[in-house]
Amino acid sequence: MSNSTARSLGDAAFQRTVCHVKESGLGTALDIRGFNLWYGETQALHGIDMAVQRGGVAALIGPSGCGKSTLLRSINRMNDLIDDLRVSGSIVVGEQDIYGPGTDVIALRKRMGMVFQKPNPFAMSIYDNVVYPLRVDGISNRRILDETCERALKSAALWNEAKDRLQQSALSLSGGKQQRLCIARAIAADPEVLLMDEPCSALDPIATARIEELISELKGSYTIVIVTHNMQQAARVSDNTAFMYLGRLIEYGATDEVFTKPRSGRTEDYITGRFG
Amino acid sequence: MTQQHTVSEFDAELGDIRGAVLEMGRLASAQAVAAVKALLGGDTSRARELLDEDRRIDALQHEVEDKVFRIIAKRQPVAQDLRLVIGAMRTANDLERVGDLGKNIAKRALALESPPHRRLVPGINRLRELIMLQLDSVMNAYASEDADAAEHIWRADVQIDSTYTSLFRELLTYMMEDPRNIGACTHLLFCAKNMERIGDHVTNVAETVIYMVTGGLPQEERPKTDQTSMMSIE
Repeated sequence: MSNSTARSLGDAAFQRTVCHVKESGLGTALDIRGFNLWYGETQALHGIDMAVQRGGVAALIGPSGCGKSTLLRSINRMNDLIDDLRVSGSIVVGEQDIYGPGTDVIALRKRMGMVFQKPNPFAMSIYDNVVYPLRVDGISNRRILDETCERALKSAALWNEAKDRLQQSALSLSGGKQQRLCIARAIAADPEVLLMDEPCSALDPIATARIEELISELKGSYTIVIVTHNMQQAARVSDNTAFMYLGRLIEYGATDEVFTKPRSGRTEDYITGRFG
Repeated sequence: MTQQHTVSEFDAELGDIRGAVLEMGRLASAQAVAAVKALLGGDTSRARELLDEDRRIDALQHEVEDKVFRIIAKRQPVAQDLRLVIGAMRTANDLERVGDLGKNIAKRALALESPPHRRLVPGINRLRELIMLQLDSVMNAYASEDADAAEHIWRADVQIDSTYTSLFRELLTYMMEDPRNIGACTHLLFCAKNMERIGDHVTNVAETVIYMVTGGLPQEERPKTDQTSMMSIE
């Protein structure tokens, strides 16, 4: 376990992120350095320094408006669609600075799977949903599509339930299964990183437990960054937890420690329900 | 604690648990003092009452456990809140044992039937005063979440050990002097051992307070000077 403090610059004064990350032993999949983001004149992210461990699960927690979804959406450049958006600093995936000149955003997004708060299957069959990213990529070989569909549905723990109804509409599935289908679609393209923005907030407790079980099965094969308002979920599924507040990364460290003995008083006050 | 919880009922529930633990500490301390007094005064009727009074401490321990289980199930406490509820349960376990040891002293009073010889009294009283000071101090440290005070108490157990060792030698001397002292001195030896064990539970509570406040335990080994286990009659 490394024990260092990373510098995080604010508007006028700087404060330090308390950093005590549990290392996966597989290196860094995603390296965010001095990352700032502005919506017009409003600065939403301040000097974020965060190295996400390869094959690990990193949870982003913090009160509404703290910048965790903004940070998540910066990782696959979804924020590019917003007018008046400016960023500085870097986010390096593998060897590539994704905000560097000449970045192919479409190619970048193929390396990132994204799962949203509400399940968003397309109005097409289960099969067509899963193989959609491959078809967009121009792959039409039936054998490849079939194999990918089976592999992705198995990885998303949905194969047994869906294998006999692959041609039925994805919209006929329950909410929990729709979300697992969206995860299957996200991993069909074999991404390096899976981004999850409150993936269980619209699900019942059993469906939530299945998604959490799925996250623990997928980690190791994929690097996962999850935004969640459910702190117990962050405690259960993640290896490292990042606590954000007012656009700053306050503490980023081993989840076991963050939820038993956080090093920052602000983290302590937030996770124990004293503000937020 | 820096702030109140957003959900005030959570604070009230934590307060209830803390209140029950403090009440256990008050009762356990009073019971131990009364048991030693009954022993030294040969007061068998008071000793019998004390056997019953221990039930109240046992009931409070169950109450603390119930409240802790409920708060874990309902609130899923983390960080300092989790340490606080786990610390309360640990402290309640230690105080329940203190109550049992007080009860054991009361049982010795029943076995002894009459007051011991007056020259045996000062040594026992000296140990009682030390134990009670430690027990009351550690409950104050618990109430005020004072890790520094708890560490001081944790270190001070060495005085109890050395007083116990000295009392052990004294009682052995009396037994060797006159075999008619053996009966009374043996009961007093057990009584002294029970008090020394109360001291050990006090140090456990002190460690728990340190854990509750800091999330860690003292790094070094606790100094110990109880040499009675290695003592031989020459």
